[in-house]
Amino acid sequence: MNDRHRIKLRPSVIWAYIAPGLLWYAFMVIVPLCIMVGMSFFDWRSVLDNKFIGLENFKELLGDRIFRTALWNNIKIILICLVGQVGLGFLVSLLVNSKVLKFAKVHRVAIFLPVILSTVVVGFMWSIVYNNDFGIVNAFLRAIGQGDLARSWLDNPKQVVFLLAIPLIWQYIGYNMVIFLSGLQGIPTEILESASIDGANAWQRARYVTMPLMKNTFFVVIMLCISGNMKIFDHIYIMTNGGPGSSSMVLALYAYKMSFGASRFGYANAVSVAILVVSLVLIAVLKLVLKEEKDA
Amino acid sequence: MRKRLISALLAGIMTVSLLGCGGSGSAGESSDGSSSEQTSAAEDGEEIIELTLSHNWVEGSSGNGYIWEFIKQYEEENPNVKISTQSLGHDDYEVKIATGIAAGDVADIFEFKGGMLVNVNRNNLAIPLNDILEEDTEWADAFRDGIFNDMTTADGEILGFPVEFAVTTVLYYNQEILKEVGYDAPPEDWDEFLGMCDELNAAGYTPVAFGNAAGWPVESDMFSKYANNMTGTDWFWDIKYGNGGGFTDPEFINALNMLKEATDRGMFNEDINTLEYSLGQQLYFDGKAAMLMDGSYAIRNILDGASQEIQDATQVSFFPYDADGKGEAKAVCGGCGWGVGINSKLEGKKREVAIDFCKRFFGPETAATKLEWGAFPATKLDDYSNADPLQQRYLETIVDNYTDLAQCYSVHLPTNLINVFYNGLQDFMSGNLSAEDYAKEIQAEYERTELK
Repeated sequence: MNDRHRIKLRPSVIWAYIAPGLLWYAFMVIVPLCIMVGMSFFDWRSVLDNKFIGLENFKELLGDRIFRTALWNNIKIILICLVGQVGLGFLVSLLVNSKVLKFAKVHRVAIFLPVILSTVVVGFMWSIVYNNDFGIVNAFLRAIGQGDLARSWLDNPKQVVFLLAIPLIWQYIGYNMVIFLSGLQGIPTEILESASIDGANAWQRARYVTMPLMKNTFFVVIMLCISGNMKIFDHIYIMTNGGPGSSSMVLALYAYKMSFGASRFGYANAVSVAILVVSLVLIAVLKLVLKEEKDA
Repeated sequence: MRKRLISALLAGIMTVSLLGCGGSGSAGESSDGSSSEQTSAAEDGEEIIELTLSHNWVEGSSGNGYIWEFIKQYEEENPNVKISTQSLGHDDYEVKIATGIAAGDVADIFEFKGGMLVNVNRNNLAIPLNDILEEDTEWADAFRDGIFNDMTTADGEILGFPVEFAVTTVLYYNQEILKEVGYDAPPEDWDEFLGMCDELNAAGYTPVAFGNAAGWPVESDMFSKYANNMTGTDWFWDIKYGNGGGFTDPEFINALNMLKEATDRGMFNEDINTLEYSLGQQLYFDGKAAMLMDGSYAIRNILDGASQEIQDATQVSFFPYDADGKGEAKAVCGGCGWGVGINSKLEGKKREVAIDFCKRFFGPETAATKLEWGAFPATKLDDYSNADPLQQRYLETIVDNYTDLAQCYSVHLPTNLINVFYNGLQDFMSGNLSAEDYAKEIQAEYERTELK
C-alpha cells in the first residue's frame, strides 16, 4: 500500500476505537474466566455456603472415576473426528473441487446443509435414527432380513462413543469442506497444470502439490476440530445425557451436571479449568509438531 | 445515487421498526385486561399487590393444570392482586430452581423439591410455616399424616406447603397379559415375582417397562422401595439427619443387590438406561410390557396415553417383597415430594396475601377440584366418586391399605448426594461398577454433605 493513502491515527484514537470491543470481550470472556479459576479453589455450594479449600477440588478430580472417563471420551472423540471431520472433509472438498463431479453446487449445498442445523435438532434426529423400536437403522436391518442385528444401539457402553461421533462427523464435514475449498481455490492452477504435464496423476497431485500448499489450512481445521470437540456438549446431552451410566460422559457435560445437577459449583469450575488446560496443551503440542515439520 | 437511495430506505426501515417496537409494547399493555382492572383498583385507593409464582405445572396438562384456574379465580376475587407465573416442565424446572436456591434468588412463592430443603434452610429463603399450622388447627388437621415430613428440617421447621400426595412406588399390571402366563395378580413374594418375570420373557413380553435415561425413575419409582424393604424406615431417618449408619452398611448393599438381581434376570426392557421416561411408559401403553413400576402420577399418563382397552386391563398392586429385609411388606414410598415455600423477603401485606393464597389452594378447599383434574391432594379424602375408575382402584388398593409411608431418596437426600447416586446408578445396573464400590462412592459424598 502506498504511504500517501494510509490514514494516520493518533494512538489514543486507535484505543478509543478498540475500547468498546475490548471491554465487551473482557466482561464476556476474561472476567468470567478469572472468576472460574478463582471459584475452583472453593467448595462453592451457594452464595451463603462456600469455603476456601485450596487444591482439594483438583485432588478429588485426579481420583474421580467419571472425570477420567470423560477426559478419555473427549480424546477418543477428537481422534475419531480428526479422521472423520478433517480427513473425510478434505477428500470431499477435493471431490467437489474436481471436474469429474457433476452437479457440484448441489453436492456442496447438500453437504453443507447439516452445518446450519441446530445441534439440538441433530441430536434428536440421530437419537431417533438409533432408536430400538422405531429407528431407521433397525428398520433397515429388519428390511434386509438381518433383524437379529437390530439392537438398542446407544445402550452398549463399548460402542456408544463411536456412535455419538458419527452425527458429529456428519454435521461438521460441510464446515471443514468449505474451509478446505477456500484453501484449494487459493492454489494457483498453473502449479497443478505443470504437475499434470510432468505426468502426476490425481492422487500424486493431491499428495505432493495440494497438501503441502495447504498446511496452514490444515492447521486451522485441526485446531478448530480439537477446540470444538473439547467443549462438545449439546449432541451428547440430548442423545444419551452421558449414559448409559457414565460411558459417554464428556468434560463439559460433567461440569454442567456437577454445577446445575449437584449444586457443586466449585468442583464444576475445577472441571472447566481442566478443560481449558487440556485444550491448551493439545493445541501447543499441535503447534510444536507442525513447526518441527516445517523446520525439517 | 442509487446507493444513497437504498441506504436512506434502510435507515427509514430501521427507524420505523424501532418505533414499531415501542408501539407494540404500549399496545400490549393497554390491551391487557388485568392492567386496566389494576388501574381501577388503584383509583379506589387500594394498593396493587404483585406476586411472582414459580412452579413446574404445565398449562392445560391434566394432573396439575388446575393451578391456572386457581390463579384466575383468586385474581377475580381479589382485583388488587396480580400473580404472575414462571412455569417450566418438570426436569428443566428442577435444574432452574436448584440453581436459584444456590444463588439465593427465588420467586415470591416458589415450588421446590424435598431434596432442596437443606439449601433453602441454610440460605434462609422460606418462612417457617409452623405458626400458621398451629393457629389454624382445623385447617392443618385436614392434611394426611406424615405429609409434612418432606418439608420439615432437622430442627422441625416446616418450610413448604405440600402440593399433592404422591406414592412413588405403585405396581401397575396388565391383567390380560398376566392371565396369558397363568397369573391373576403378581405374586407378593420376591422370588416368585422373578419367576413370573421369566415366564413373561419367555412369552415375548417385557415384564416391567422402564425409561431411566434421567436416572430418577429407577431411584424414585423403584429403588427407594427395595431399599426400604432391606433397611427399614428408621435406618433412613438416621441417615437423613446424620444420626448414624452409612451407605456401606450391609442392609443398603443388599438393597443394591436386589436391584442388580432384577436387572440381570431381565425384569426390564433392554434399553432401560437410555430410554426416556415417557417412552418407557409407552411400552406399557402399547401392550408390549406386562407391568409398569411408576408413581401415582403415572395414572394421568395412562389415562391420557393408553387405549381404553389397556386402561380397563390395568390393575394396581403393592411391590413384591423380600421377607429377608427389615421393612414392611405394605410400605410405599411417597409424600408430597414438592412443596411450595413463601419467600422470606416478603413483608407486610405481600406476605399476608401470599400466605392466604397458599392456604386456600394447597389446603382442603380445593381437594375435590384436584382429584377431578387427575391429581391426588395432600389432604385426606373420603369421597372418591368423582375420580376415574383407575384412580379409584389406586386409592382403594394402595392409599387405603398402606401400613408405612417410607421415603423416596431424591425427596429427602440433598441434591449433591442424590446426584452422585444418579451418576453411579446406571454404571452399577449395567455391571461396570460393583455394589461395594458404588456404595463407597455414595458414602464418600455423604461424609462431605451438610445435613442440617
